Amino acid sequence: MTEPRPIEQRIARWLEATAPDDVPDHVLEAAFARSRVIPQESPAIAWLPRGLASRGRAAVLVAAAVLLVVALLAVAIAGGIVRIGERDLRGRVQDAGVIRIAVRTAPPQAVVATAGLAGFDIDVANELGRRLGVRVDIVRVSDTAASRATGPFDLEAPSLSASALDPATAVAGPAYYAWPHYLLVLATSPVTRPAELAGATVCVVEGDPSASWAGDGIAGAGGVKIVTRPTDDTCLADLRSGAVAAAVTASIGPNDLDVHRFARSIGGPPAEVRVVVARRSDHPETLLDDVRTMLRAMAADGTLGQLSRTRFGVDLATSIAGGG
Amino acid sequence: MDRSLVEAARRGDHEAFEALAIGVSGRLYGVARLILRDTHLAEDATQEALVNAWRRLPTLRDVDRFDAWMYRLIVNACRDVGRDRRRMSPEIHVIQMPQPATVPNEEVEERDLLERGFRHLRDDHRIVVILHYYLGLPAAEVADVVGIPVGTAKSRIHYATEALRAALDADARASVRTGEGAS
Repeated sequence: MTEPRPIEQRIARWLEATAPDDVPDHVLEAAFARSRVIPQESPAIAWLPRGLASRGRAAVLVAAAVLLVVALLAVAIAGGIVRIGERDLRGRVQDAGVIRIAVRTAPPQAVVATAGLAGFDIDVANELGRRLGVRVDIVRVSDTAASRATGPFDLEAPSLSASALDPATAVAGPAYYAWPHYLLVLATSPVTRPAELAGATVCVVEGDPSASWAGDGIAGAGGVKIVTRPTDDTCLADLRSGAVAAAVTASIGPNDLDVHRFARSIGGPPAEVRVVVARRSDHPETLLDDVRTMLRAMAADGTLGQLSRTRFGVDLATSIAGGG
Repeated sequence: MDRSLVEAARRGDHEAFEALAIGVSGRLYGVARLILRDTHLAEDATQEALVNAWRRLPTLRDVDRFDAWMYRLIVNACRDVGRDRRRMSPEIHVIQMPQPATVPNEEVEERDLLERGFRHLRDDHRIVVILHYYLGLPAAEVADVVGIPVGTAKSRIHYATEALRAALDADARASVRTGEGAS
């Protein structure tokens, strides 16, 4: 009969077998994303004598911090720099451990699928939350502008351009992708360039930013007649019937062009840069800075390009993300 | 531990910090899993410890003490996460530990006994067991990491070891009694 191993060895061996082999990648990624945007403490704290360890040292630190905060607050309040009770949005999100991101149900950026909301805006929102190290609650709104005053959300991934925002209530954050608009003509049309549409009738979608480009004369053609329709579908129906010579798309993406084989693209306005948005009264500047840094990292490591290719078929994000 | 990496990370070099973190994170996560006995909580604690490490690195006075300092951060993060768990959901007892498929029966039995004995230990005794037997820290370093006198660390290690020995011995005695009864 063999002598049992010493208890110390048995415990060590059991712990070794029980502990996991390695830390999951997403833990490191989240820690790195957070630490990239968190400033380091001043080394001055370490100058306190080691003898003041644990509680004594902590008490000195707390007392010093309280004095400093009181002094700074007094100066800030006296100077009217801050109002008591206001809290930075990033701090509130970190305290809560959750970020609420509003999206509009605007296909194909956010659609209601069988398993819930899905789309590029949702993917980006979830990835931002993961990198911030907080839970993400998606808040679905039909109109972010109307909901902005009281809506229960911290940020918006609304698939809107900065020009669509009211600067009095909204802050345009960093860009996260750029949406193309296509100038479509019938596949059988002899027109090959926007300039050849001089004098023709062109359909645009009501309220879409591409309307102003078309109104300005479609790349210098001049003299085009603009008609507006409520949706891409109605514009395309007019194009198909011959009621208009061309149509500028609003929400048709690169994936969808193949579906409309009766039409082909001859160019279009510059891609519309779409931005992350926050409520101005929330003091969102530091959180938007974090988001900008994370979007740049997502572009650099290929995450954003992959999300875009998955949802849109092409990469509409990498070259633009984090700008603006 | 690469001293130059610690020095660079203290000066704000994030790439150096990432290299350091990758090197130490496996052990930190292991400690967190053993203390908290829950995958998600251990992930949270590991992430918190790493973020705190980045923030506080400039205040680390002795670069050679980096590993011990990191262990202190993970133990504190586990305490914080554990406190939150008790405050938020006292009924949660998730045990998700890997068990290799091909382990001899007696070994499985021994692990099971140690697991049960370990669960009966107080939190502060579990922590010293993990630091001492899993990380291999001597009692003086355990004391430094936990922030207790060396004598207290020694006494906790001794108490916890005896408690685990008793868990194994109790089963051995029960087996002997069963054998006697059968003859």
